[in-house]
Amino acid sequence: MPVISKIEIKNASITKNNLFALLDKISKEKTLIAPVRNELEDVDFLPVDNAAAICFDYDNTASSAKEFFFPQYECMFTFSGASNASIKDKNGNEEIVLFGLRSCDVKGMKLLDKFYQRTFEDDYYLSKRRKSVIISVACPELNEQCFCTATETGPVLLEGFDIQLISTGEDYAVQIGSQKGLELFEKYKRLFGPEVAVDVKKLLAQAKKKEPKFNLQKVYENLKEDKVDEKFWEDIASRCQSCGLCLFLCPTCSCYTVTDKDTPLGESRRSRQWDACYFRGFTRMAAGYDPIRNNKEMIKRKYLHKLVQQIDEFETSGCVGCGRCNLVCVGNVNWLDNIIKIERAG
Amino acid sequence: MIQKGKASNGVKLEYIPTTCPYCGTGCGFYLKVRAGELVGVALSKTHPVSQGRLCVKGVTSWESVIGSDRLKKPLVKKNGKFIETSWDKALAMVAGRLSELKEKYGPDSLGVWGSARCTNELNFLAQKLARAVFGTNNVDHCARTCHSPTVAGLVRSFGSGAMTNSIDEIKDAACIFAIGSNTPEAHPLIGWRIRTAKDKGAKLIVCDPRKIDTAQYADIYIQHYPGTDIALLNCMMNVIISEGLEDKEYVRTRTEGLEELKKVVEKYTPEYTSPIVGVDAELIVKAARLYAKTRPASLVYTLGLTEHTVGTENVMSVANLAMLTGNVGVESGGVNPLRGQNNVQGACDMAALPNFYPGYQKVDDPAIQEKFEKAWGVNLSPKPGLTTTDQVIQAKAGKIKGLYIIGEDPLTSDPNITEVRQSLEKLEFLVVHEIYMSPTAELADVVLPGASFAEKTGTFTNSERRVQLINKAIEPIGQSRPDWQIVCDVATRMGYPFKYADTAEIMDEIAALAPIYGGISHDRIRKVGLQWPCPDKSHPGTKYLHKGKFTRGLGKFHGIEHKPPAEVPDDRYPFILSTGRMRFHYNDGTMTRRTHILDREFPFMFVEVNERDAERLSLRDMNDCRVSTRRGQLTVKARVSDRVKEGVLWMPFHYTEAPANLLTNDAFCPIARTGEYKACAAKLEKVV
Repeated sequence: MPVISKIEIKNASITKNNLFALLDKISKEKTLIAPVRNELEDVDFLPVDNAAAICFDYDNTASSAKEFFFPQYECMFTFSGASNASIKDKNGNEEIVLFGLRSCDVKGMKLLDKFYQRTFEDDYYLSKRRKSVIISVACPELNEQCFCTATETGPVLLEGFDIQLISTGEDYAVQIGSQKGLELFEKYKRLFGPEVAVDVKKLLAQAKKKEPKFNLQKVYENLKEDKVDEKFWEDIASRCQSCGLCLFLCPTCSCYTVTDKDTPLGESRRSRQWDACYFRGFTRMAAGYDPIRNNKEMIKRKYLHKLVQQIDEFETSGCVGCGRCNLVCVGNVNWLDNIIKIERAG
Repeated sequence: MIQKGKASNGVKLEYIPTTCPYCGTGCGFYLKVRAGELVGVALSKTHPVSQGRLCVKGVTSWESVIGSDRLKKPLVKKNGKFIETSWDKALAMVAGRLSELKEKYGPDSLGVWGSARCTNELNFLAQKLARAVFGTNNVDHCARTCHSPTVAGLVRSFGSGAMTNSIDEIKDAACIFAIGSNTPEAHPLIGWRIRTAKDKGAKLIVCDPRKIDTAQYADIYIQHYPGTDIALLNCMMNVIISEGLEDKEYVRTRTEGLEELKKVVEKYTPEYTSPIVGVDAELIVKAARLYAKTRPASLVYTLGLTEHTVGTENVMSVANLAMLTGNVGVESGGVNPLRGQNNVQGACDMAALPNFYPGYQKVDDPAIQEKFEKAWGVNLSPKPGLTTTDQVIQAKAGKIKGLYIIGEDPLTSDPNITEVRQSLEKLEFLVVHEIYMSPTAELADVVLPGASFAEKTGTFTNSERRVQLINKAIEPIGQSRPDWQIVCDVATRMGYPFKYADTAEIMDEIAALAPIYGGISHDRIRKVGLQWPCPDKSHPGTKYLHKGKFTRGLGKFHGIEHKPPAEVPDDRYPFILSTGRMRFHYNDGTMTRRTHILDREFPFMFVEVNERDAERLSLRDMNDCRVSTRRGQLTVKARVSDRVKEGVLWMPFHYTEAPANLLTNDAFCPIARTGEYKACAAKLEKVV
């Protein structure tokens, strides 16, 4: 069952003030997650109980919002004793509305939607996603670190969204792209205005022309055909210190590890937490055998996974060009710089 | 019965800003809290130290303090076993027994160990407990095991014992000289600055017996023997002076004692020094020239220098080198000891130290004594007290009868733990604050459960003297309590009421008594902290020290002769055994061994052996082998590589089930009383 039931795009509009009013209403009637700028000037997604708490003026949030569907730590179930058991669904998932997600992160979410249905339905992720509606906001322009034009994941989307807002100056053009989006629109119809048509294809072409960043097809080929010099991989491997952050931050990273642990107050839990392929312990097997023979292979694997394998499988780039991993590395590994080097190889 | 997981769909998610509980870099990040539980860590892009980055320990720190075996109730030992009891009963026992011992044997029969893992406010109260309530200056903490030579050495050379420059300045240095510091593993976010400097074209010189990550990309890598730093540094100064590369103007106007230095370094020619340090003479010459000619040069060091019987002299030697080349009191230069623990700088500032009052005001200075007597309303002892090292020694000698240890585990982290055990067992009373049971706590009469960094508000001071807040994110687990509150109760029960509404109020008292913290308050440090010296409420803090003049006026050169470690290899024990730290674990592993991703990476103890040494012993990677010293033996896995120098063995000390300090030598720097963790004599045998 798809997470997003697509409908034919319906166009509308909303003024800046009405958007504020809409979000304020939603914040009181549902659970609203939106970007918040705190007193330390960091901007990230948090639950808000009024629209005044929302930050509208940001490039992109520190995280991609995957925390709300695939949290860093999640209790899967609790257990006690050894007797036969029944699973009681105490997952109090309420409906959430997520406002302010950028196109790249919407694409990232879409890829996770596919991933978590890939071999079996991951109910922990999907139950939350199915109860959520995302109001995404297209980016007016790219910044130095992001590259959605190259990965075809933005700055505005043709489809695959619930509700998409596109700035028209002070106000927004609104596009409704899914059944859930339509239901939300219908509920708060009075706050929306008449159709404002947007030529999304033109916007995308303009953005790509202005900032192409790199040619993904070339990168795909150079990686698939192993045309990149060994020294390139050696350099990255020598810099990586296995902090895991580039992967924890990545909107499309989905790996986790499962632990059975007691809490300090004696509750036995099976939990899962974010894991990453940049730890040797991630691939190492019993008796110490590691199919990843060295750090070079470990590094290379991520590039192949996101820029070749996921393209092959999901027909969309595994990297959504959000740029977050560029500035998170204590070894100064810049993912975008490296992709451009790969493009130029061979 | 299985119940499906709790609500985890984003509601009630909070970000609580805090400071990392691990190393002395002092990164800022947010603890993620959901339904009253720690559920993760989020980055802070704006934090001046972490700048949107973290190391693997920081990002997993949420898991480290929620282990199921957190101590939740006070424990009292009865017939050799621990029994849970109430706070009231436990505190009554603690206050009662300590009062008895004080009455019977005198105040100096007691000792208090503050904690470099706990807040400034706790440490201030710990030393106040010792001084104003017990009546003794026998107060110290685990800086004794690591950087007290830094304090002792730099006070002698510069007048102030702290890191001279700020962490972020390192990335703009033209040259970085890193000696005895495995920066990318022990201080990853400082290692990042070194990496950045190199990427920007800076020159990097690394001196370490192990081929650490920075050695791999250094311009010059010197792999010298453990315990030969003075010879190496003297040789560099010999080259600099004989080639006229010193900063003559700087030396003339800002220092004293050059002649004494010259006299001593004269004989440390490259040819003389090379066999001592085990390094090519030419390489030392190259390093000397590069360091002297590339300015500003930032000198970075940690325990490779301090954890020796000549620790204090090692520190004075790097101070010599930096002064000779005019690199102190300049931006992106300096002498930069990287403090190891989240609040070891603070614990020193707060004077959990036997010879200082808060703010490095001397205990044996009558004017200072009078100031504190007035502030606290009691008579105070003018006699400097015993260090932790000497408290342990004197416990064995029967002079120390009672110890109050907060958040430290000497049975894992002191050298020659067999001796330490004998000492602690002789005590008449031992009380320990802990978050998890430890080997030391096992020996205690009373164990008091403390609240972790996530369960209380207070301040830590990082290596660059930045005072920062930790903010309470969750309620104390079980019946654990913030350590500062426990100390208040003990003091009050012993007849001196400690009454503070909160830790902000304690910081106000600190600011009133310690001039370097004069302008520090919780309100002022809320966003980016403040670096001391910060003398008053309008002062913006101090980025780097000794600009224009040293704290003591002129910088002082000291002529220092090389002296080998207390125990050197011989026929029976032919290897040099050194010990240290890894990126994925932290000190005695209390927190990291309980964190899934960290322990998974390195779950067992090992010894690093050089390939050629391994071959001679028919030892292969992952074979079992026995490492023995005169003090004990351990059977561990061998990790064979070219990382350690031939003739050298290296072990981490993170595994309490195989404690490296069973083997290390309880030989101490006579000035700073720090143990020689970095060098003793060992033998290695294959176990079949």
